[in-house]
Amino acid sequence: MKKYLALTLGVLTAIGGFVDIGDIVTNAEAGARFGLGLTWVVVLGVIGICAYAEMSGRIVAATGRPVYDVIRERLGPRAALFNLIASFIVTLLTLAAQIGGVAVAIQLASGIPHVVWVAPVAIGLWILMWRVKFEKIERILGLAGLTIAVFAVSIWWLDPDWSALSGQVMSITPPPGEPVPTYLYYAVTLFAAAMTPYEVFFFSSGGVEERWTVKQLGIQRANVLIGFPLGGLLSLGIAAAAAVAILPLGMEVETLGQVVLPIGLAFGLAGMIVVLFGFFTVMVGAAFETAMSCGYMLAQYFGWQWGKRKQPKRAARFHAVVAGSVLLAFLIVQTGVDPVMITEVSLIGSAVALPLTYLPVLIVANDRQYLGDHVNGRFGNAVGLVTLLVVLIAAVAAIPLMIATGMGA
Amino acid sequence: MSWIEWHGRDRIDLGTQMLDRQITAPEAVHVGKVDDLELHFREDGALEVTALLVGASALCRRMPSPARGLLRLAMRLTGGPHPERRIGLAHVVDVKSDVEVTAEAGESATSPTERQLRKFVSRIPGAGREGS
Repeated sequence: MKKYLALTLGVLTAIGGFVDIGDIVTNAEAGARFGLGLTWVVVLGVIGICAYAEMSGRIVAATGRPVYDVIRERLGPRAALFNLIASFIVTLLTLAAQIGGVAVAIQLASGIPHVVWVAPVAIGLWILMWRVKFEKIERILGLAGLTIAVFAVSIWWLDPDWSALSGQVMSITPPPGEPVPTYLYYAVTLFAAAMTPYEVFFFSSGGVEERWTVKQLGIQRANVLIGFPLGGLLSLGIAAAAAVAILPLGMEVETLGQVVLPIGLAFGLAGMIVVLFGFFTVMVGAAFETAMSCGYMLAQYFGWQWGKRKQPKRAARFHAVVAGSVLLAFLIVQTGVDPVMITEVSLIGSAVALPLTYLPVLIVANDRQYLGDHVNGRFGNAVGLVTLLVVLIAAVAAIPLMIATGMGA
Repeated sequence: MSWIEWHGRDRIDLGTQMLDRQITAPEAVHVGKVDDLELHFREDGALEVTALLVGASALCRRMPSPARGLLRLAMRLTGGPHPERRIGLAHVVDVKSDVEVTAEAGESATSPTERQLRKFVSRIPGAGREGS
């Protein structure tokens, strides 16, 4: 019984860990423009994040070492420092995007401009992290975040053309009239949103905090392999709703306010309350995860005390970095930059930085000195290598595509 | 790879088996990383590892110049630079995927920056509660 409970809660956490402002924005943008024509990218991204998280979870269970420990040991301090700086900047931008997203969700609910809400959101986030238990935050926000399933439900109310939708799902080429670079730009951001580095920093550090051992490998693997695909389905629900309600209008999605349009059409005010609540919890959860990840990375590179399980005053530098990251992210958003813009920039950065942290994990997952009998099997390596290829292509293509298309315009 | 497994071996690659490993004291206290090693020439001419060196100052020596400048700047901004700390080899208890040292060595190698910040963080309500 206890085992099933652990599984359920773990799955919830994984679903919540998957969906964030990046997934919300990119799925809505892609859905409004290409219908479900980029479904294959979300599938690739989900396979990728499953492989990445499963390997790093296995490393944690077998050795007790989180990702950045492994990166410094494997790459040496120089390459790892470069890696750390790149990943830190990207994660900080992702944190800023989530904080901005929460502020916009409150704006949509209250009508008062989002810049007013940035400071209260940042302060509230810090208090949440300082006072509330790790597991409580993860479970409550994970469960509450499921409300964004309202997107998937809305499709039935909007009475779509099912055969057209299923036709889009099967396609792997741009719809007629759409330029290939734009299609590929959206493919890269959608992939980056599904496979974001912070998810794995957070996941593996959380595993160390919860003291995983090889005994829990089965449950932990099930959490990943059930939770992340369900998170992917929730994201695809957003794309599908946009495909049904926004695509026929010939409109482009540029704000979170437009993302929730299908819900307004399907369920009116009640739907809006549910979806804004869902956005709020999902993004607060992601803000928690990204802020903690900022602290995890630095602390693990330098070997500091870290984690929520330790007395806060015994992990002073860790908590200072977490609070400092929230402060920096707050300053970025408070300038008034559009949170959707920050999201897109952070996703391009994620795509570029991902190989830096993915490759060392793949290498260590094959190292018998670390993992003994728990090294990758043949299937694991096949998936791992295909993912590596996709990750590399996305990383190389990201910036040229961003420039060539003017950020998907 | 454990300390025991080192016995009787002709060669140990300190670069992969020792440098940059996590140093841990009892009760999962993170002390720091093996940022550098102290070596001495023995009378027979062989080099001997005598201590682990911990701290950003020790790490700096192993960095190329732009990264070194960045680390120095970071140290200055956080009230340093502080001298590196030394953990004699006698205080190393075991080497697994981390390097385990005695509680006493762990305490004495605590970073001065961490100590200073602890004074500040302790004043925030809730800083002393058990972790969660």
